Order: sequence, then structure tokens, then C-alpha cells
Amino acid sequence: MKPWRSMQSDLIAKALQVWRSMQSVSIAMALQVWRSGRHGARTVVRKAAEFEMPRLRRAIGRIRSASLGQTIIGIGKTVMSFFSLRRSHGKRVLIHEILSLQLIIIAIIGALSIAGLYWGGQWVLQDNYSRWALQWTEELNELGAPLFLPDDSEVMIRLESFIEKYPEIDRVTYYREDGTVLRSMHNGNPGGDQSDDLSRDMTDELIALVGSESPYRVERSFANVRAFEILAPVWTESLESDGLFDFDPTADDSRSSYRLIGFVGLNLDFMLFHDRLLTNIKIAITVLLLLLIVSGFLGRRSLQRALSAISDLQEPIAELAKGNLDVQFKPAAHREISEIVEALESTASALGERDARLLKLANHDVLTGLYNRRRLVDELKKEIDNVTQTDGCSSLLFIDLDQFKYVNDTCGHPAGDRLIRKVADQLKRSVDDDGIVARFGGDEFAVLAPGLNKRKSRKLGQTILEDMRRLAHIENNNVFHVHCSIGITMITSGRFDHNEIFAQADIACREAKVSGRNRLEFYSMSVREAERMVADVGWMSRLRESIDNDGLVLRYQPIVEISTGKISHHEVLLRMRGDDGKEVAPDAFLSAAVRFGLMAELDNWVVTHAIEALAEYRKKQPGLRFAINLSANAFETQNLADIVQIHLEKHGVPANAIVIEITESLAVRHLSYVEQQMAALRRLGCELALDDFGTGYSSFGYLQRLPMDYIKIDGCFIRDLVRSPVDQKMVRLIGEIGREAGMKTIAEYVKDGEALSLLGELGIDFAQGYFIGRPELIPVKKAMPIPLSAKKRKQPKQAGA
Amino acid sequence: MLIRLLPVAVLLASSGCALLQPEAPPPEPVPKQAPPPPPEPQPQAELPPVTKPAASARAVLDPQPVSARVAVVLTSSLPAYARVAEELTPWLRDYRSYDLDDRSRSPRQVFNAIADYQARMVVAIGLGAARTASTFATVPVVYSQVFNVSEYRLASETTRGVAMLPPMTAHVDAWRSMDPGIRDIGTIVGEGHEQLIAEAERAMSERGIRLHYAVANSDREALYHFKRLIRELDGYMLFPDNRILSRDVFTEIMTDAARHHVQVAVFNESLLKHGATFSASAVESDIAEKITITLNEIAKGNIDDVAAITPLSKVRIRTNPAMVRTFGLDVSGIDIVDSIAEAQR
Repeated sequence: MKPWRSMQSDLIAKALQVWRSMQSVSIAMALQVWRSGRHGARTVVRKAAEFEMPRLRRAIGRIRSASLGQTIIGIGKTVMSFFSLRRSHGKRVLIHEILSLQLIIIAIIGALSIAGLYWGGQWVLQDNYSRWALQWTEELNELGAPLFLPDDSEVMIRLESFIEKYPEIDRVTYYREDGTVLRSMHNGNPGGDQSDDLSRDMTDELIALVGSESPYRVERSFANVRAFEILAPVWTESLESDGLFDFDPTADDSRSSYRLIGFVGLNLDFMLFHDRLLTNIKIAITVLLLLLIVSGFLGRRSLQRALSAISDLQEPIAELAKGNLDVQFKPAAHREISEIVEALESTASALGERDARLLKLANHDVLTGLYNRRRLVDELKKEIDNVTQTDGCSSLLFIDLDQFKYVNDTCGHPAGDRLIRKVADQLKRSVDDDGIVARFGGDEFAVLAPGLNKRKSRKLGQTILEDMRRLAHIENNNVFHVHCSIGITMITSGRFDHNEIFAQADIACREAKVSGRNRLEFYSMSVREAERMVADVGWMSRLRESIDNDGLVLRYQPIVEISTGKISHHEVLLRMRGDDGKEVAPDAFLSAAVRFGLMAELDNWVVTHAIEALAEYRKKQPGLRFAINLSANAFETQNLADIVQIHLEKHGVPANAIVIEITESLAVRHLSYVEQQMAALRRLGCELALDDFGTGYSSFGYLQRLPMDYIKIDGCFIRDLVRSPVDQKMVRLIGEIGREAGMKTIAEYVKDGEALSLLGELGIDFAQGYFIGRPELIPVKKAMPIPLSAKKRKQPKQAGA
Repeated sequence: MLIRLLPVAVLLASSGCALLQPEAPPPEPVPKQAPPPPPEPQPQAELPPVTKPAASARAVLDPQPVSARVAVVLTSSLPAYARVAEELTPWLRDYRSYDLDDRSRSPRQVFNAIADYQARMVVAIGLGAARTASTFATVPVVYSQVFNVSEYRLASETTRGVAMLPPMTAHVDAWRSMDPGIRDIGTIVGEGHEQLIAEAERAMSERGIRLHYAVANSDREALYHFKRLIRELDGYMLFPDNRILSRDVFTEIMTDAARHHVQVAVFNESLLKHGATFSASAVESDIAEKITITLNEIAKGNIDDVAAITPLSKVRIRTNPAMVRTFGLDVSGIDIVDSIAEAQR
């Protein structure tokens, strides 16, 4: 805060500049003297002003106005800065508020005390003045009695000596009965103004006061509380009873007779006393203010000390809020704060445990306890940076189990899980301290081996292979030997990012599989592989960009009920907008999405936009329904149903307008998750469809476990349906199984009317394909005409059934 | 010496003070610090000659029942009047009482009745009765319980009075008995009480006490004088002069006296409770005896031998125990409750 004097000094300095520029040397000098604050500076200014009075007046006016304005602005800024200091990041600070409250209370108490002191002092003064005035009046009344009665030469001396004792008595006047002045005395000023005779009205008024309880008339001015004028009648009183046999001084009878003998007037001015008392009051106020300031300061210190326990919490809490769970809290002396500290420490501890748990969940694979893909990516990034900085060498080993699907299919999912855990344990033992083992997903593992050159990496890979060869897994009295294929890529510089490194290892692993499995291969970049990897990475980048910039497109292909030809619902198909404006089918980029971990985002995008679009289209087509394809990744998400519900509720779409499709292979592969999610979706009201049925495991037993509404027969059975009796048998079988399981069947890739007719004959419920309708940007309302033959052929069969 | 005694003798003679003894030594000259001498008594040509001391002394000693028909007129039924009447009537063989407070008859009618009654003398008790009797009575009047005699010009050839106040000598004796160290006593009276002042001054000076006095015309003036006097006094003697005494002034006097540690002797025992030290009042039986003696003298045709105002011979002293303790007074010489002292002279 800039001191006011300093501000004033600055202002005067500015004024000096103005005056110097005006070449008014004399006034400038005077102002300079004034600025210096010397005694008598104003006199100098005044003298200088004699020469240029008009200009000086204007200048001083300017200075004053500027000074006043600047002062107000300065005070405003100071107050604002005070309060801005009192705020922390725009939020109120409790301690500052308490301290401010204390200041306000002190200020209010101070103001009230000063006001009370002043007004109380004034009241006491005036009351005392009145009392003294009346007392003096009585004394003068008594002292002046001889003026009206026998002549007493001493009376004047007594009166004068009395008056002299009290400088507050300005004038005393004695009047005769008729109101004419008998004697007038000025205190210390014998030649002062003479009193006037009393008016008739005044004498009458005073006469009426004779014998009363308040036999005086006081005139006082509220403007000048120091001045009093008192007029009182002077009378004698005698008792009527001779001999005073029944004299009772306390009796309130009226057996007295009064005789007016004159009046006495008293003019008082308590200026001296008043000034002296006011000076004392000012001193008292100053002392009071000092005491308030001191007590305020001490109180503030005490408050600060008392509140310091809270202040001390601020920094640790801020650290805690930043996520620093190792923060240390000072032990508090106060019970309340101590409890808060204990609670905070408990909270920090709990948060730490929860963080550790979450971190573990986030970074580790639930099944094996190994690092998951996310954590491996982080570690790989660090290692790439490390290698880049140290010119070192590391390697990434991509491991794919060769026989896992066989175990999973034959012994069931739990057996597969047990095998995975066993492999994970074996891998940890094999790698030991040479690297980090992670489960990449499914039956894929990866090992990041920091500091290992090609030779050591090969040795590590061979160790893993040998250990895996020795690994035997017994399940249902069957011994399984699970071998693996390993792809190794070397990390020697920062030339490739982590995605490319993963792609290289993956390529090498596939090379190992192609080369006969149960072996390892180093990644060596052939032209074709390099192009593919570049292409994958390119798809990944384009996909990333498309997700971020809404570069994806949804198309809607109708699915019709074969018997009626009416559109049942539309399958939502994903397309990516290519650079040339053409749409790219998902086959081109889905593998990259899976490889580079973008499926979750892709699923989310599809769900969000499909439901939003459905809501929009349902305004014109109320019965419109969409079938949405989701990846297995989406079903691995525990809150899939919640996400779908949120979007449905957001857009006001009923759940039964949604059919969720999942491929048979993915459903079977992640059966435990899929079962749970499907159940949740069904509870929500959604329908479910098993896509590409017949191409995967084709285990009809799964149909009993998966609560599906639709079975979508894979296109491979439909493409040559008309010509292939085997396919017809297969389709018929699937149709029959579906009916038995209470599911409806959908045939994909229906490309002509003949196939459609045949499907109707085979008992398939719905059809989808180019013959029915191509994927369109807007859901069509009517499908292609259905050949009558399909209906004709189907109806007798249905009737027969 | 005779030249110095002459003014005092004239003064005393003119005041009609029955207690003055011819052989009594003249008062000492007033010292310089003493208050100014009392004003010269106003000429009272109508007053009878001073009562012969021997007759007066005999009368005091030997009151006789009054055989003549007497009318007793009371100003009111005030106890101070009624008690005198009660004490008097046993001495009267043929009398009737009249109360002027009885509104059924006017004063004139009362005195018409008295005339019809053919009373040979009238006893008027109280100022009202005395003034009415002096106006309407056609027979000699003896009045009592009147203080401001000269104020109302009661004295005449057919009128005689009995003093209202107890004898000053007895009063001062009692005071001195209680406080032997008392030296300065002050009093303030209205005009017309020169005899009283003279009697008091004489009684005090004989006992080594200085009397400081002032004559006031109003209560205000009385207070003014009192405040001038109070610093010089050991005691203040309050007289029942209604002209210069108001309730406020009485209160002021009592307050100032207490503040200045001055004893106050009052005329009425009812004032003791207001801070007076002791009261000195007349004895009703003494008044009655003096009235009886006067009536007998008048009945004998010796009215000219009767003093204008017959002094009393007894005083009733009552003290305020609290003030007695305050001033350390010795009351062993008097009855604390009710001391009636005979005048020594």
C-alpha cells in the first residue's frame, strides 16, 4: 500500500512539473517548499501566489481535485488489493475472513465507543452545565438577595468575587420586580454589553415560576451546547403560622406566602471548560483507539496463532490435493485440529491404498497379475527414450501361444484361464530380472528386455521357448503342451515409436508362426512387411484422426423379415472417410484399431453416434431400430450397459430400439465377460444378436449360455446357398436350432431373389444383403420388393409346421 | 459605669422583660468581633410600665384560682393551644371556651356571645384569638402563645400577654450544662424582637457566651445572614419567627449547621428529628399559671402593674440522642427526655 503522504508527494511533484512547464518559477518554488513539508511552507506559497494568484488558484484547485481523485482511487486500489490478497484463487479464505471480521468488529467497537464517548461526553457536559448553571443561579440568587433587601455594601464584593471564581459565568444581571435592570455584572469585562430589561411577557412567565419545583427558565442552544442563559425569579417565603407550633419542614402544605422581589439572570459560556473537556475526550479517544489497535493487534496475533493450526494444514492439504499422498501433517495441539489431522492422515492413507489398488488395476492384468498392455506401453516409451539418450540397446519380445485356443475350446474357458496363469508364471520365471513381462491380451504376451542386445535377446527368447516346451498343463486328465511363437524386435534408437515397435514384434511373431510355430524370429524389415507396418501405422493415425475429428461415417443397412418383406431394423455399419472422399470399409482399419488399442474409443464413438442418429431418425420413423456392432473390447468394459443406458436416456430412445451385435468368435473367447454384459443389456431392454454364426467355434452349446435374440448366419453359408446343398443343410440346421432356442435367424449377404426365396423355404426369419438394401447414409423406409415365391414357399411350410 | 449601664437599663425597661433583675449586672460591652449591636428598640408609648419585680415574683410563687367570669378563646384546636387551655381551666371557676376554628360562628359572633356571657376577662390563646380579641373584646384580654407580638400590635392598655418562649436564662443554662465549652451562639430574627435579643444577649454574656445575631426581613435574607454567621458559631438558636423561616431555609440551616458542626437549639421538639440538637420549649402549666396570675391581677384592678408580657419561668428541654452523641454533650445535668428547668432568675 502506498502511503498517502507518498501519494500526495507524487501528486505535488506532478504539479511541479506542470508549473515548471508554465515557467511559473515563483509558484513552483513555493510548491517545492510545500512539498518539502517545511514549517511555514504554506506562507511561502501564499506569498508566491500574490504574484500569480489566479493561476495559483486554478493550479491548487487542480492539485486538490487531482489529489482527492487520486487519493480516492488510491484508497480504492488499496482496498481492492487488500481484498484481492484476502482471496486465494478467487475463493474466500476462512482465516482471512475471521481476521477481517475481527478487524471489522474492532472498527465497529471503536466507532461505537468513540461515538458513545463523544455523545456521552456531550450529554454529560450539557447535563453538568445545566446543574452547575442552576447551582450557580441559586447561589447568585442567595448572594444577590441583599440587593433587593437591606443595603449591604459587601454584597457587590461578594458577588464579584463569586463571579470571578467561575470564568464560565459571562454575565449576571439582577432585575427588579418590574423587570428593569437592578444591577448587571460582567465577568472580567466591566464595560461589557449591558443587559436589557425583561419584557413584560418574560416577567409574567418568570413570576409564574415562583414557588414551583423548577423555578428557572433555561435557554440553551443545541448548536452551541456551551452557552446557557438562565432566568429565575427571586422571591421570599414566609410561613403563615405564628409561633410555628405546627411547623413541619417536610410537610407539603401550601401555608406559605411568597413575595416576588426581583429576578436574576445568568449568562454562561462553558467555552474554556468545554474545550478542556473536549481535549480530554480527544485524548481519551486517542487512548481508546490506541488500546483498540493494540488489543486488535494482540487479538489478531492470538487469532493467527490459534488459527495457525488451520493455516498449517493448507499446504499439506494442497499437496494432498495434488496427489502427493506422502505429505506429512504437523501434529496439532488443538483437539479439533488434531482430529482433522488424523482424519486427513487416514484419508491420505486410504487414498494411497486406493491409488495403489487402482494403479495395480490400471497397470496389471487381472487374470495373471502381469503388467497389462497400457503399462507395457508406458514402459516401452520410457525405454525408447532411455535408449535414445544412452545409445543403448533393448528388445521387445512378442509371445503368442500356439495351442491355447485348442485348450480353451476343449476344456472350457476356466481351463484356458488356468493355462494363461500358468504360462504367465512360467514367463516370469524365465525372464527373471532380464525384463518386464506383460500380458498383451488373450493368449499374447510381451517381454520388454531393457539393455539386452540381439544376442542376449535371442538367448532370452530361447530360454522362454525351452521353458515353455517343458511346460505341461494337465486338464481333465489330459496333458497339454503349450508352445509359443516369439517375435523379437530390437530397440536401438528413437527412430520408431512404441506403436511401430509393437508392430515390428507382432510381425516377427507372425513370421515365427508362419515358419512353423514354436520358434522365435527377429524382426527384419522386408519391403512388404515394412509397407504393411507403415500401412498399419498409417491406418492407426488416420483412425485416430477420424475419431478425434468425426471422420467416421455410419451407414444403415436394412434387415427385412422374409415372410412379410417389412424392415425389421437396420444394421449400423461403420465407415471411415478416406482422403479421396471415398469411404473405407472397417476391414481395412479394424485390425490396426485392435493392434493399437483403439477399439474402445471406436466402440464408444459408434454407440454414441448411433444412438444419437437413431433418436434423430426416429422422429420421422418412430419404429426405427438399429443393430450396433461392438467389439469384444466393449464387452470387456464392465459398465457397457450403463454407457448404453446413459446415451439412451440422453436421447430419449427406448432400449428395445437397440440390438447389440457381437461376433460368435469374440463372444466365445470372452465368454465370462460377455455373459455378464449381455445379461445387463437384456435387463436394460436391448436385444442381442450373435454375428457371423457358423464361422467360429460353432459350438451350439454356447447358444444355451448366451441369451441371444438373433442369430446372424455368416455370409459364407449364404453366398453359394442356391448351388450348395451343404450350405442349405447348414442353414436349415441353424434355422431349426434357432427356433428351438427361441431365437430368430438372420441371413447375411443375400444378393439375389433366388437366395432370398430359398432362405424363406429354409425357415430363416430375416434377410440382409445387397438384394434387400445397400448400406445407406439414411435408413431407408422400404426395402427391395420381396419375390412372391419366397412367401409362397414359406407359408405352406409354416402352416405345415 | 452608670453611663454605660443606662442604655441597657432603658432597653430592658422598655422591653418589659419580667425576668430582668435590677441587681443583675449589666451586660458586658460587646467585643469588637461581636455582631453589631441590636437596633434601638422602637418606641412603644402604649406599653404599660415594667412590672414590679416583687409582684411578679410573688405571682410566680403563688397562683390563685380566678373567680371572675372568663372567656377562653382558642385560635384553633392545635395541641399547643389546647394543652394550655387544659392547664388553665382548672384555675378558672367560671369560664367558657370558644374555638375560632369552629366555622359555625364568625369571630364577631363569638365575641358577641362572650359579651352576652358577660365575661369579665378574655384569655386568647394563639395569634388568631389574640388579634380577634384585641379587635372585638370589650374587656381586658390576656393572650398567650403569640410570638410576633409587635408585628401585630397586640399591646394595648387592656391587653396583656404571657411569653411564648421559655426564659432565656433557663435555656442558656441548660445548653451550657450540656456543653460547657460553648462560646458562640448565633440567631436570626425578624424585626420587632429587640427585647428577645437583649434578653438572650444578656443571658449569654453573663455565662461567657457571645451572641451573634442578625435581623432579617425574609427567609432569603435570613439564609443569607445565616451563611455569613455559621462559620463563627458553636451553636445556633432557632426562633419560631414565621416571617423569616421557610421550609427550604429551615432545611438549609439544618444542613449547613450539620456541615459546619454547629449545634442547633429549636423551639419545638418535633424538629429534633430533623437534626436539631435539642429543643427548648415552654411548659404549658407554666403558661397557665402565668395567665392565672395575670387574670387575678387584672381582676384586682392592678392591670397597670402587670407587665405587657409576663415571662415564663420554666423550660422544657428535650434532646436528640444522636446529636448529643455527635457533639459529645453532657446531659447528666438534665432529664434527657423531658427536662423542665426553673429559671434561675
